[in-house]
Amino acid sequence: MKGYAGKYLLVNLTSRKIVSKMLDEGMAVNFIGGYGFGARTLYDYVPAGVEPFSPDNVLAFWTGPLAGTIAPVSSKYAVFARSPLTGFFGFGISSGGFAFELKCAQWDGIIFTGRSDSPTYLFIDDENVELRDASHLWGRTTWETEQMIREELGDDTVRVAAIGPAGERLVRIGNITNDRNRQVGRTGMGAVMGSKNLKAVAVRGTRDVEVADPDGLMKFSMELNERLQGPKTEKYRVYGTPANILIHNKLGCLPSYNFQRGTFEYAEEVSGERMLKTHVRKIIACTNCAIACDHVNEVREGPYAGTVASMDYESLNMLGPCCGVRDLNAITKAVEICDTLGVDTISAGVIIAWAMECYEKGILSSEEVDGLDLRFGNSEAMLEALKKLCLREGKLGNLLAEGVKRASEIVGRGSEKFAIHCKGLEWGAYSMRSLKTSTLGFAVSIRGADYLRSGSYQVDVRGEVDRLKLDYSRGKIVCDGENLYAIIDSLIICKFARGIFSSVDELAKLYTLTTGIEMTGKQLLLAGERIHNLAKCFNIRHGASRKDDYPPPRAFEEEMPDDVVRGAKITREEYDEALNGYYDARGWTREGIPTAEKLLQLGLEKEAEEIAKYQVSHELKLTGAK
Amino acid sequence: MSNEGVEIEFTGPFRKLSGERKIFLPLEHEVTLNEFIEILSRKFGDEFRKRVLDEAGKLDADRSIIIINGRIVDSTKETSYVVKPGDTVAFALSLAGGG
Repeated sequence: MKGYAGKYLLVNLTSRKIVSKMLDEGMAVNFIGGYGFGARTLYDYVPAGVEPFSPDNVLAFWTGPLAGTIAPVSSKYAVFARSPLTGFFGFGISSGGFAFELKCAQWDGIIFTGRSDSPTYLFIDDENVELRDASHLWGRTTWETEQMIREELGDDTVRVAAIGPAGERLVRIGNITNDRNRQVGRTGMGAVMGSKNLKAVAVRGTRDVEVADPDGLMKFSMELNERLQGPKTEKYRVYGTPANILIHNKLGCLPSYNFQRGTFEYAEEVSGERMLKTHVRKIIACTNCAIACDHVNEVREGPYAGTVASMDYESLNMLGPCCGVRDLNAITKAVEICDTLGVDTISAGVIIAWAMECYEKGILSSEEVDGLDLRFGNSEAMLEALKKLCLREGKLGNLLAEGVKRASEIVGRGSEKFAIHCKGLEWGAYSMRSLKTSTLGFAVSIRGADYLRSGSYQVDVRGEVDRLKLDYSRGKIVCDGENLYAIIDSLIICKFARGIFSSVDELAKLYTLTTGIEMTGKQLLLAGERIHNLAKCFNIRHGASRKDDYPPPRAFEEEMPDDVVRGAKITREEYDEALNGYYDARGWTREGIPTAEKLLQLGLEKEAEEIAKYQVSHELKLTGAK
Repeated sequence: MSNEGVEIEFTGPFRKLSGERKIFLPLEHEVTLNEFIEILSRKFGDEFRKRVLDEAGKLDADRSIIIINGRIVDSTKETSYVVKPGDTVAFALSLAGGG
């Protein structure tokens, strides 16, 4: 079994015992890597009742079989835990050089259990692995931590994945940063890391990763690299995802003012086109990537001069138009604050936008927002609120640090209607009411409101369906997208490269050339379905049902005011029909529970047995039986 | 808006090619989308055509999208689209997301 290192680390932070475990070939074939390994780990290690901040929650880092090889766009890793934000399947994926280094140290992944009694960090130096004191790093920003560890180890090539002060303080949107600008962003994996007193993971890997067919993989990788430098990825290379701002604005699907609108009157001022001229200092690439998409901004004048931050569409929109903010300098500063203190930019923007709407509507008093003039568009107030959130400072900071769902439940007074999330995860930068297939994909996603689990916005924005309508057929579109993306996230390759593969058979070819394991596209997609079902079983175990697969009230109750999509909203009937279509396409019950037949078909026998209990329990609830 | 022409907006590379954010193109009668692209390609050069159409002359949805009156052109049905006086048309990069 090539490609894989064939072993992973099991680190008990309570006992400080570190064990090397062999990777089973069956695990590799059935669950591929990345997302698949994470689904297997969470299901096997986190039974019902384990709270996200409990030492019994796990924190798992997994690479895919391609990481560390010549295969392009593959230096990616994912981190998994029961999410403190959603209570469900939590994970995030990051890029940079960390995954490449970990695999070159000959490890496929790391599973952390327990909790250290003092701040610690794990240092992996090929086969030598040790937990080191991190007391001097506690309280440091992510960037400082990376730098200090490198200095301490006397090696500035060591790769570091670290949390900032936010993760230490259990801010529920805490993230993990590596290589300064790359993040495991969503669902609060940094907060779980903080709960374990684990400040960082540092890796130095010096070995080669063996592949099954070196010549074949080299030839195919060169061909893929040529495609990666071709027209299909130009949008990422040259303009970066911020180019989406003007397009979304034109379509009325640019979330602004906490998703009240789908256009922003100052869109030109925060556009990717403008940013490219005035703010982009350099464009950099992750290890082994021929695209180079990371547009790094620098503020060149004004009160935030010297600020440097990597800028993508989601960060730009959520901390910009979603908060009514039009000042690119302030938005860049906001991203820098998120990256250094360690929180997810998407969630942070949505949470602050919610607070702004509540403040403007008189739901939150001046005292409750610590005296800030928290009106939409006030960039200084936005930055102050953001710092408070990251550090849990004051009443406002402590409230916002809980995430928008919990914060709105704490405040009450109707504020729940303005909390834009699904399952507790804040919605991304795609309008709910004017991209309806996208909305279905967001809402049924395993980890909460999420565009990265199915890419279902694509059929909307390519005009392949009527984006202002929903129907039964959209369910299968989302289902198919999820199965494909489960494979992409298990191999793990960058989704920016998805357009260069002519079919899933080419992904299978890449897998076989690397691992030596024969695999067809059809088999890969079946693995994707298996992985997705396993992750769903985890959510069912932790209480998920149909009610968790709906977008927030704004999607149903308010019509869009923007000319281009005026009047657009989702009806309950059309959503229910589309959701039924999704469950049917999945072979699940109409309550969103995988059937035993489906799970057995996918080879998930023990899961079928457990989930059947939830099925019975749910039916009893529905009939009112005791 | 005048009914004697078409308002055209450009973003991304189309802005660079045309040198404009927005133009008004006189148009007296309805044309097919392909004819419309041809008119603009004559005005802004062959590079404009290459940005919109693939080598087979089909819309390349991986690279670019066209929006007519707020509706995105479905690249699989391009021949059924027409542009008429009074329309607004936008040329943009295809949307990108998901790292």
